[in-house]
Amino acid sequence: MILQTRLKHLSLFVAAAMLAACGDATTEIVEKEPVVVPGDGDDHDHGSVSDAGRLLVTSKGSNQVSLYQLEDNSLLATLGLTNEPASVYASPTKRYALLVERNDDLVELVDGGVWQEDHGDHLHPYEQAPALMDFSLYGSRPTHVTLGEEQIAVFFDGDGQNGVSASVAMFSEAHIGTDNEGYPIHQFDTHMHGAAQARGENLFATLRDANTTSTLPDRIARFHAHGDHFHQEQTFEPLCPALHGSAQNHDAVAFACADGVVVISEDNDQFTASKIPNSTDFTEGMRIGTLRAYLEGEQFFGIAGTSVFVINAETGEMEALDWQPHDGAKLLSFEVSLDGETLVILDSEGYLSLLNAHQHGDELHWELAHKLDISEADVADMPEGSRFEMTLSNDYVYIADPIEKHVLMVDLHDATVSGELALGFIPNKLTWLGIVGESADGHAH
Amino acid sequence: MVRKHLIAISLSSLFSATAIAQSLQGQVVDESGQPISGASVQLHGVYGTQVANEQGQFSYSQVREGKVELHVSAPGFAHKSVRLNIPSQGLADVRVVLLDTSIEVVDVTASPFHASAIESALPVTVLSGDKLRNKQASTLGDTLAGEVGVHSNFHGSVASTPIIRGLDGPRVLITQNGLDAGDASRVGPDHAVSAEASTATQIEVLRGPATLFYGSGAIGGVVNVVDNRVPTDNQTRGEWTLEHTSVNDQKLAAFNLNSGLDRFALHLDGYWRESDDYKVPGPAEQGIDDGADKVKNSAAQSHGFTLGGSYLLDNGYVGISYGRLDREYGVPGHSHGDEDVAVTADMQQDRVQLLSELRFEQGFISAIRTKLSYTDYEHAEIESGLVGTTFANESKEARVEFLHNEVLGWHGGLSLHYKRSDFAATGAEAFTPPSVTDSLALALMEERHFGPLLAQLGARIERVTLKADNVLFPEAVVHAHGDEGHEDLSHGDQVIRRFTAEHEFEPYSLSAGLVWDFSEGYNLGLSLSHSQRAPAASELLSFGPHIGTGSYEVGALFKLYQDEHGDAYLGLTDQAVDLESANNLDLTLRKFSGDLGFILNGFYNRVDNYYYQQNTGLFAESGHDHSHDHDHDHDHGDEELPVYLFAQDDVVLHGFESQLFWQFLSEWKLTLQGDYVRARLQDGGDLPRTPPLRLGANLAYEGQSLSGDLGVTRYFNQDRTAALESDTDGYTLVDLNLTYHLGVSGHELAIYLKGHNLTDEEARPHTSFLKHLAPLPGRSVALGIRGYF
Repeated sequence: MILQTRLKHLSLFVAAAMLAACGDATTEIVEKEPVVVPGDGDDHDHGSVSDAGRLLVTSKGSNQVSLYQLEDNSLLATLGLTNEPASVYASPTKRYALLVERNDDLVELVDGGVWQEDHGDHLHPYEQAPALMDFSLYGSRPTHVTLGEEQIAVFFDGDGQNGVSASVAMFSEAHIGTDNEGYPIHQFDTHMHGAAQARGENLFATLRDANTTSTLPDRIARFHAHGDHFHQEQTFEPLCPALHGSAQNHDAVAFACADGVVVISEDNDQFTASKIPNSTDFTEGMRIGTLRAYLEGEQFFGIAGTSVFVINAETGEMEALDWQPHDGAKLLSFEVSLDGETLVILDSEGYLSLLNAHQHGDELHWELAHKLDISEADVADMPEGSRFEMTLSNDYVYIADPIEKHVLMVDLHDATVSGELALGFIPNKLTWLGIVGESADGHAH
Repeated sequence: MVRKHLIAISLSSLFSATAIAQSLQGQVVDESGQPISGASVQLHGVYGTQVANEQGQFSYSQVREGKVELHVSAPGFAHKSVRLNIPSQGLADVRVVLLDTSIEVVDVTASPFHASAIESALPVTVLSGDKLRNKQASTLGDTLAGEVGVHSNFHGSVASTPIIRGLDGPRVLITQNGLDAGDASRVGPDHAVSAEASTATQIEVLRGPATLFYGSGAIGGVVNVVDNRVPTDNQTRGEWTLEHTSVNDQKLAAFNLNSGLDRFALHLDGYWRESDDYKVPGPAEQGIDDGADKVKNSAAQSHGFTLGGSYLLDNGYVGISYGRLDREYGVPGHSHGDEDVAVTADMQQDRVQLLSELRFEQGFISAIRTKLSYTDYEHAEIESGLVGTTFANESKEARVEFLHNEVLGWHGGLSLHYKRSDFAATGAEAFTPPSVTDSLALALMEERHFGPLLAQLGARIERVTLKADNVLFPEAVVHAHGDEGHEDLSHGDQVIRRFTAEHEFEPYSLSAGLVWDFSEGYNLGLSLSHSQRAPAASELLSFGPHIGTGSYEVGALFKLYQDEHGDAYLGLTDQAVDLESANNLDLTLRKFSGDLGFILNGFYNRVDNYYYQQNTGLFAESGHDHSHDHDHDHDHGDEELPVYLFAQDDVVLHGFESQLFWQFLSEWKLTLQGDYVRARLQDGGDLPRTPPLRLGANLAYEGQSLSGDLGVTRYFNQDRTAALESDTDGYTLVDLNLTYHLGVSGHELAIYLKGHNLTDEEARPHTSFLKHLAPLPGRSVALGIRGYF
């Protein structure tokens, strides 16, 4: 038997071997960098709360959601929801995930377990086990969830067949955590596939004429929160036929219509709406169906099929964005990075396009910087009803690949694939949870 | 390339099968010369079984010239192997005389040789037919608990695994149709075995080292659950059962269906079982009378189905099956102090098996048996609606056996065996880090008759690699009580050291067996073996709380040291991680003919470098509080668990098993049986949870339409205990089974009554981790109906 011990500063190597042909047993142990788990803070050492955060992934056809610690890609917890979620959103600070169980009229919330608190003179990071929250929302057909700076708006479409009207709820993370009650809810007089944007005490939500056949609304109203209900304060003049899609940025709230985008802006507590008509680039039948924006930015991004338009609310201009999709590629997902400096587009051919901002005078221009093939698999092998999905953290794009049953990590800054997380199940939706920006004790990469 | 070559050989032998064929005819008779109709006749190298006609006659039209072997069996008779020399003109008047026996004889499917309770060098037990149906319980250990040499580690009736001669866990391999069960039951007593008795056709127990056929994990024995999921014939037949049990309000429904058309055979089975908490004679928790007469959180619900299909060939079959198992059960005894937190386990398993057997009369190869499986297992432990810990085991296995035609009088074959298990446990009680274990083995088994002597030889070499890339070592969690200096540790940062560990083991096994038919109706079996076992991942790499056993488990990769103040602490081991080696001697004397039969067996098993859990005197926080983000903070603080370290020592296990069968009237049979094992450390001290001495008597009546049996079993007290283990009192169990058979137009019905523990005795098995918390169920009566067609 040989026994060797060699010590390096962090690497201890132990090897033991028995030198016989049969009945042989060898062991090799290599020490890796240790993990540091923060204490409970009595000595006011924040310990190390990982900047990497956590990833919540839902499983196709299952009510189980898995949470991974991204620092070491370990599975932290598998939580069982009541039903299979149709979509997943992260709360404004990315502490909580909202899991929308549309067909089952329920929204459940999961605490990702990583957050920070403002302790006056410093931000205090916390890390604990993920948990399913007691707080949940019931209502008919919850569909669109939108985020304001602090508020979350959940729009319940209602159910026309059963005569259930639409409703909308507005709440903040404080409601999720401790103050579970008393957030305002508005009940509409008819069902609709609507949208809402929460902004301070105001909620901008859609209205539908109950006498029309379309489930899409065509008007926008402003509601003001009063305790557990809203007062309808204002109905905006411009009609917005076949309204679908909304967003808000630093300056305005926007809703997408079949013929253009209605932009609502505030000036001395006065809210005014105007419509930016679709540009001449729009062909017959083309419309913006999805809006995106960076909360601190000045632009909106309108997605019309595979085309993306950059909308300048102030000048009322719409300009096509050249993201150079491959033939046949369908735009699956469009996000603005958490620092607002990169546009990230995922398409059905398995490419990730990263567009970087360039300042031209007052305006931001976007140029395609990288196009990455993120799947070695044949996209034709995509399981029925599945697609690539993505979510963004501070530094990475996480792409769920249902073919390979893994999550691929792409470094946003150097546009390289930096790792993968094997799942062992077919992923459906995913969201990143963690601390936006650098955490208080942050060790940046 | 090797495979292709072999397929080529097999095909050529297929086509040349009739080249030098001769005929063989004969008759099977009993001792008085009366023909035995319905006797099964198997010709070595020929696929399938011939059934003797009413005159006991059988005939083969195409038999190769030279030496052949026949194996003849019939219910109520001892099996017989007959070696014949077929001359060029064929053989017409072979007479096979079978001896009466009072011993139930069923062949083990798990062995390449014919092996049964009376024919093998190694002791075996087979449960099948009505006997299996009478004994089947919701868990595998409890099903087999009454078999000689086998005890159950009873875990509140929701989980249990068989203990064979005092050994269990990673030393007893649980297989399903000869392939690893692929679950997490080897890791914790609270993890259920993923094999189902209610749809099985037989359960085989190999007592003693069976590493030769099964590999390293079978050093203590094998339990093989056999079902017909890959059908081998297209006969239409089926079985169904409906049953209700009083003690836990258990409802069971199960069915088995086989059918087919032409060359296609189909199989479908399924079962559904639901039970509530079970009743106990006194308080569940020893010495604490809380007024409750049930074991809390012992309810279970499970269901499963299997679908299989085969293509039948003249010389064999190829088939594939898919099975799914879902089981939800409470984990009793998983409470913390005064708090009652119900923990449930939710398990599911998907299993695909491909089985094939091909036989060839000509050429060197007589048979090729192929078994492939893929198993995806997962079980979650759920507390307050939250998944606490998830155990996942994805395993793949392949075994190909090549049997050869007789060479210089020797029969036997070569087995190539590959197994891969990808095991992961995540969550609060993930005491074992994720690991991947690969094993590849080559085994050779041969047997030869020398007059009245049958010699069996075997050898196996294996390579096992175990890789884990995230072994955790939270040094500071473990501490001695009263260790003031460490009190503040829990407030500061905790450093968890991490390692990658790679182990490579090359265990080998050798065995020699003799069966000597020294007088008609008697034989003497002798088995000698040397077998080695690679430690399991949990025995090496564990470091964490295991609530199922109420201990903080630390693997053999770590070792207990003493610092300069004489205080104990844990560190990485500086010793080699060794294979466990067993040297086993088994002696069996059998009388199997006539109205009185017996099987007496003695064994001596010395295991060097035996892995066992040693109490270190240290404590660790379970890391298991119940503050699941409720509004009010109810953190009860971490529970302290004693730290058990896997240590290695030399141990000796010896004991006996005896069975006596007396058919004193044609319809009445008395069976007496007893077993005992002593398990001790070579240097003094006893191993924990060793079964006590057990004696039993069973009186059975087998009438035309009524059958029944009354059994009394005495479990003696156990006072040979390990350190910190308490003595356990003895108890007596009285069981009664009654079955009434009636035939309804080609459909056979059986209405049955099963009574267990009729005297309502408080019984706490010494082998159970929960003996203080969950005694055996109280008086129970099950009423059921079973149909066959």
